[in-house]
Formats: sequence, structure tokens, C-alpha cells
Amino acid sequence: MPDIKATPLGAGQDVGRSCILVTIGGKNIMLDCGMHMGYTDDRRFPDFSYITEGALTDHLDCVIISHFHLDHCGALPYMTEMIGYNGPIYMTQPTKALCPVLLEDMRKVAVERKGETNFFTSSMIKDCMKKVITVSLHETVQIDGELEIKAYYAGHVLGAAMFHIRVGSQSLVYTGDYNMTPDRHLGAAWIDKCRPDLLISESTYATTIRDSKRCRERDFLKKIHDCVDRGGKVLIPVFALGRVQELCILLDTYWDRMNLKVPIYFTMGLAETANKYYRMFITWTNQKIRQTFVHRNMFDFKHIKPFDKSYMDNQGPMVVFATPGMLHAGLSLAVFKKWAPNSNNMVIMPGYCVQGTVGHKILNGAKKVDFDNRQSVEVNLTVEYMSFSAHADAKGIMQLIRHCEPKNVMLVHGENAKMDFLRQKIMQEFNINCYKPGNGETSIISVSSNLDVEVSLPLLKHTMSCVSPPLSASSSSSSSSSSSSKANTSEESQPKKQKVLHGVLIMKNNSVRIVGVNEAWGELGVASHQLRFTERIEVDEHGPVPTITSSLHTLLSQKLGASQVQAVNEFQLSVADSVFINIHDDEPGKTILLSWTHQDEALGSKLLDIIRSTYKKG
Amino acid sequence: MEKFDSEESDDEWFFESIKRYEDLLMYDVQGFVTCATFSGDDRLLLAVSREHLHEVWELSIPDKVVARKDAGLVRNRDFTLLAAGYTGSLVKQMLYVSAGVVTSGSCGIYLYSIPQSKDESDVISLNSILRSDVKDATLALSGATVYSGTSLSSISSFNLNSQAASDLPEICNNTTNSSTWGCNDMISNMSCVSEKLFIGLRDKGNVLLCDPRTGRVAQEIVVPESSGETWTMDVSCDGGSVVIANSCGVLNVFDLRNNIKSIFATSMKVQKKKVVNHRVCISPGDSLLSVSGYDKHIQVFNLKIPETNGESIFSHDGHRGHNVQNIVTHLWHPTQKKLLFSADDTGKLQAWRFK
Repeated sequence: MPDIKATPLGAGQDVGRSCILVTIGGKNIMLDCGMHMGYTDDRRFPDFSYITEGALTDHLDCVIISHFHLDHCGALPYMTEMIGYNGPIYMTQPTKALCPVLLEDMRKVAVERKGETNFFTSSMIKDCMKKVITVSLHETVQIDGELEIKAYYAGHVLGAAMFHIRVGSQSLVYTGDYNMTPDRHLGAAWIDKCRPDLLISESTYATTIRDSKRCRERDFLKKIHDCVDRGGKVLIPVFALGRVQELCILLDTYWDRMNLKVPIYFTMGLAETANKYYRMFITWTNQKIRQTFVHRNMFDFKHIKPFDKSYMDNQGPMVVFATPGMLHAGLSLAVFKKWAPNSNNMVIMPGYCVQGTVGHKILNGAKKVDFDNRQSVEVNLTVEYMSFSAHADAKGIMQLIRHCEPKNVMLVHGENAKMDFLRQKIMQEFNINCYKPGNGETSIISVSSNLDVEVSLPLLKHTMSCVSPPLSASSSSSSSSSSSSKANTSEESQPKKQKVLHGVLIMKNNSVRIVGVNEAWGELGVASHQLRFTERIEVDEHGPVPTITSSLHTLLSQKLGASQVQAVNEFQLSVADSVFINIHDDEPGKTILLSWTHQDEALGSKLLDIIRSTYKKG
Repeated sequence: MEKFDSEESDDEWFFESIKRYEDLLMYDVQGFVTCATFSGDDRLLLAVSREHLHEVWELSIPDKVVARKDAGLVRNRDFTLLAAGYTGSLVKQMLYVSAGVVTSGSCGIYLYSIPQSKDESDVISLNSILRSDVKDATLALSGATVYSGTSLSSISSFNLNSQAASDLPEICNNTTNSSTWGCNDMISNMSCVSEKLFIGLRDKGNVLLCDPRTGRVAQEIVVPESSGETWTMDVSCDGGSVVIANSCGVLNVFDLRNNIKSIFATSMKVQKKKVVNHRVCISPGDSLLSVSGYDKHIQVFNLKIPETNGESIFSHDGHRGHNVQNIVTHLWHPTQKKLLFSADDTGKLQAWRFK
């Protein structure tokens, strides 16, 4: 049986590094190439030696990256430039534009702040990106003669995609990170009912029942309102490519509704970057953002104004959105240094921060942060965390399975949670297998392949027109008593009735066809042969030949029915138009010649038995 | 995409809620919550049904909900599914017992084992069948003894330690009100406090305080005779007060230590054609009363302040939307003040702390 093999790579069971190797139809594909942000040693990279020692080019047919988050693409330059890979890398256009930005940011932090030496360089990032081929949504990309891929919208972040991979009759879908509910700035994931042999789904939030988006937003607003009410200042470090637009819309609406006068600002760098990227990738956001964008500049709000560095020192409450999101440099860090010592103030961290950044330190409870120039800052302000990232939870995973109808499911990166119940649920409700391999473990998924066989039209027609064998006794008796409705139903069900097809299976040029016997002669260039058997029976009969012919005629008519037996002439009979009986005079007795074609074997045998049992041997 | 109008009105409600609620969290369990009970300060057991499939879940309550105000940075606001299992039928009531849960449904009373450590599988599995002769019985727990029954003549007890089952002695009407109830009357719910079994009569409203060993009725709370309504009740944690409510909205709280005096009375406005899920709870702190089932809200009353008699101090209206027909259940957190959980029939579970 052909099968698909899938192995999540990496050292350690933790969530945080997506890199899955699949072998499908003889092709080796790497799905994502993420870095584990929690480790500072080799454990942060997937264990590529699993594939082979040294360069990977000859061992991989392609690499696919689902989106720009570092836990999905962080190890890419390391893999391509330091381990070695020169083959194609596929990703969507926004991912290609945004990956290098995040990789460079991370590289800077690692090398300049943490002093790492064995890290990939800026030029390695550039070289790596040169190997990238972009794909558009719903565009089928032919990688080689047999392998093709197609990207689907995944929601989650700008440019995130789910990938459908097909080799011959085998297919699989890899989801990357996705979410099944739309939000204010991105749509929901969507895929057609492609029925893949295997669905590989991220299951980080599979055992989570998530608090609604609205309640998170409500909490976000409440925190800010409470802080400005007591005269404090709120700093919100953001990624230009994250949900900042959405948060601004939310805050603007709330300020308007509540008639609040406290100033809100965004930094110019943030606006410029966000505008630039949204302009490039307008088709990747949802309908509402697109409409907003068309009518006005994305950062044109009633209550939110551009920030100037000097405002940092202003008295009184205010709210500021500033980049970068991890507080590792730039304006957001400068504002933080100024406001951190005041316990009335607040900083709301938007989510993930790389180790080594100020953001990471304060999220882990640091009360004091030291800087290079002997400067240190007291952290007295309230540190809050607010993640709006959209992932699929158990409900979303079940929805996706229900929608694309895979034959098997594989769950990856589900932390240490057992998820036995979820697997049981999937197996029970969809009647399919569910795998959950650990890092380094290979799952082998059996795939039943369908063989497509073409049936020739003449054969089809011939089979359809054949009289079907009579139905069972019970149904035929009931049909006589019913009205036309029964006749109608039997007519309707006619196409559903099974018929036996007699034909010849011909395999030619990688295609398989069934044709009728007559067509087969021509196809195969073979001459048709007829086989006819003749049995010679000597009998001890006297008298004229016509008498014997006549008595044999009578006998056979009795046994087989008069319609079956014809007298051709005085010394020849034909049975069923195809078996012939000739009677000769053969002193002292007679000779009966019984002749039949191989199709009439049964009839021939029967007649032979009759004749032998009737006449004495001569 | 959501329609813009409903989004706007949603925004309105959420903005307003910032002033009214200290904490508000909403979850969609994608199914129909039939009952809920706590299995610890940070654990919640839920019975969820979807068409013909019935499950019991053990959830870990988000830190955000159970953390104190000065707890510092708390990130977690989501429930985590710790364990789950299929149950044979829709679960009407559950009791948490050590390392397990007792359920009551149409097939009887079952005991399930809940895996205790992360290393075990996360599947909740059937341990044993305690009773199969009662359908949708009501349950009460005292130590290791589970009481169950549907009528006064069908109450039995099961000791989880000794595995011994026994029927309760017949509860006879030896009181002066012999005409109002008999030993075949149906029970709405039961509660065991300080060795006394409180039994609420579903069709009569009376609450009997029974000694489970002898079947003797030590005290009885009488309600004015009425017909056609169904009744429910709740007992405070210290056994000192009992609240009794009927499907027409008539509600009374009685002080058992003060001659069964009515210390609180009100009449709920009924906005539904037929009230079947009405539920009253006295908070663990014993001074607040919560009521649900008469409309789409959960009302909270303060029993200790006579001035607010009859007026609710808070009304939770988070179960919004025209799809919501019923508040299926609500419950107080065992230790945290003013914190309640509620579920509606569209699968929404909400945790809310009012100001």
C-alpha cells in the first residue's frame, strides 16, 4: 500500500518550533522551518541531521513556509545558508516581504544585545530570500512533473496560508497557524472540500476554550480607561504589521462613545510602515479594512493623532501606540524609559517578545532593567499582557475537519497535553484515524489510492441496453399489485441498479481502460478467432437417415423446447441457432456429428449427454 | 462577516459593561451545557450535549478569573480542557466526589473516574453504575455518601468508601399538614447540610428536613397551597436559610433559626411561556441570592439589606441575542466573592464578577 510519512523535527516536546518533514508519492517536502524562541543553544533549531548530515538540497524537493512568524520561519536562513539548501522555497507574497524584516530584527537582538557569534548574517538572510518563489491564493503551482501545491487563506496574520499538496493521486493539507472565526482585520480560514488523504493541523489551542474576542477587547479598554482615569500614561508597543489598526479603531470608537478627552497618539514610523504594507497586500485583509483603506488613509482617526517625541514629557494622562513591539530599540523604548518609574503608568505588551528584549524581561517580572551605558530604569509601572492572536481551538479544528473531509488527521505541536479525548472524538465523530507524533517520531499513514479506469462508450451502451436479470420473487409480485408510482420508482432506480460489465482491461501508456471484446481486437491488433468443437458419435442405428433426424428432432424439442430446435434439412438439425447436428450414413450404423462454438460449451455438453444416453453405441 | 448593526449594538453593551463588571469572560462550548459543578477552586466540571452525543468535561478555570487583584501579571484567560469523556445520556445533575464525578441521567446514576495526573490519559471513564432504577434523579452529597431519588419513596444512599447501597426508611407525613403531601410526592432537589437531608417537593413546594437514618421529618417549611406550579429550592452553606421559588416567580427566603420566619420575599416577572429551568442559589457567603430561569437574566439580591428587599442589586444580561431562549444553569464560585458562572442554551458559558 502506498503511504504518506510525516515527522515533526526538532529536539524537545515544547511548542514553539514548527518544522515537519513529509514524504508523499516519493517526494520529500519540508513544511515550515521555525525557530524555538525559548532556547539559546542548538535546541532552538530543528534537528536537520535527521534528514542527512550536511547539505539538504538533494534530499528535499521543496520547502514551504506558511507565514512570517518566527516559530515558522526563524530557522530558514540557518537551514539554507549554514546547513545548505539550494532548492525552491515557496511562500505567499506578504510572507516573502515580511519574513526578512522579522528575521533581521531577531538577528540584531541576538547578535547585538546577546552577543551571539554563531548566528546567520544579514547577507545570509538576503541570499536565503533569493531562493523564494511566491505563490498566490488558489493558484496551482506545478513544482515538477508530479508535485503540485496550492495556497489557501488561513486568517491568523497577514499573508498566512494553508497549503494543499498533491503528488499523483495522493494529497495532503498543511494548515500552519489558522483561525476559523473572522475578526476586525482578517477574514477566517477557508478551504474547499478537497478530501485530502491527510490533514496536518496545528493543535496548540486544541484543549483550550478561548475567551471571546469581545471580552479581551473589553478588558483592553477597561485597563486603559482605569489607568487614564487616575492620571496615568499608557504605552502600547505594537508591531506595525499586527493588529494595531484594529486596536486603534476599537479605541477610537470607545473614546467617541464615552466622550473621553484624553489624547491618544501613534508614532509616525508605525503609521508609515503599516500603510506601506497594507497598501501592498490589500487583498489579504478583510472587507471592512479594504473599504476603510480605499476611502481614507488607514491612520486617519477622530481621536488618535501623530506623536511627537516631545509629547513624552507632557503632563497628564495619554495613550501612545509605538513601535517596535518588543521594546528593544527606537521610540517605544525611549518612551518606556521615561514612563517606567511612575507607578501610575501602564505598559500593555501585545504578545510575544524575543528573549533578550526589554519586553521579554518585564513580562517575566523584572523590576529593574539595565542598559549598556550604565543606565538603569526602575520598572514601577503596571505591566499588562494582552494577546489578540487568533488560533484555532478545538471547535475550529473540528470545523476544519468537517469542512475539508480528510481521510486522516495529524495533530502537531499540542504541548504536553495528552489529547486522547480529542483524538477519540475525531475518530468517533468522523470515523477517521488521528495521529499525534512527538518530535522525531514518524507517523506512517496508509493511503488507499483509487485507480481511474475509463470505460469505452460502446461498451457502456451495450451494458446498459442488456436486459437485467429478473428481480427477486417478492418484489416482482408486489409490483403487480401497485400502481404507476411503483413503476416510476423502479424506473428512477434503474440507473442505480448494479450491472455486470464484461470487458477487457487494457493498460497502455500509463492509462487504464475497459473496452468491449470487439473493440479489444482492434486495440490490440489481434485477429479474432472462433473456436468450434465437433464431437463424432457412432451409433448403432439402422434405417434411413431422415427418420433418425426426425426422431432426434422430436426428442430434443421435448427436452429443450420446440422453439430451440430447428430442422435445417433431412440430415441436419440446429439448436439455438448455433449448435449443429449432422447425421451420416456410416455402414453398418450411423454417425452423428455434434458441433458447437466454445461459447456454447454448456449446451454442447448437454446435447452430448442426451445423445449418448439415447442411442446405443455403435 | 457580522452585520454592522448588530456589531454596533454589541459594542454598546460591551462599553457599558466596563463600568458594571469587574471581570467578564465569555466562552462558546459549542454544545448545550446541561449542568455544571465545581471540582475545586480552579476546576469546573461541565456536562455538554450535542444532538445525540453527551460529554462531561473537566476544565481548569483561567487564572484571570481566580487570581486576586494584587496577583500581578496574569495572562491566562482561557479554559483548558484537562479531561473529558462520553456519558451514555444527557446529564441532569453532577456531584464532584474525590477523583470522580457522580452523574444523574435518563439511564440512572453513574460514577466516572477523573484522571488525576498529567501522565495518565485525559479520558474520563465509567467506573460503575450506582443505580439504574431511577431516571433523572436528584442528588445530594454528605461526606462519602451519595443520596439520590426522584420521589420520597425512592430515595436511597450509596457509600463510596464501603460501596454499600441502602434505601432510606420511608418518609411519612407525621406532621400536622398531613393533607398536603404524601410519601409518593416528587422531589425537585435535595441538599445535605449538617447531617440533615433537605428535600424540596417539586409539586407542593414544601421543604422537609429529614434525618436520613430514621426517615423522620424534623422540620418542615410550608408554603401556601397552590396548583400547577413547579417548585425549586436551595439551602445556605450553614443550613440556616432556605429559599423556595415556584415557576410563577413567587420567591421566599426563610430563616430556620428564627422560627422559619420569611426574611425575604419577592415576585419575579416571568417573561417566558413556560418556566422549567428556574433556579435559585444562596451564595457561599450566605448573604446574596441569585435567581435565573424566568427571563434571560440572572438577578442578584442582597438578603442582608432590608431596604433593597425586592429590588435586585445586579442583573446580568450578558446572555444576549435572539437565539438565546433559556438560561440553563448558573452557579456561584465556591470561594471568590461576587463571582458567578452561567450558561445558556446556545452553548455560551460566561464567568462574571459584578462591581
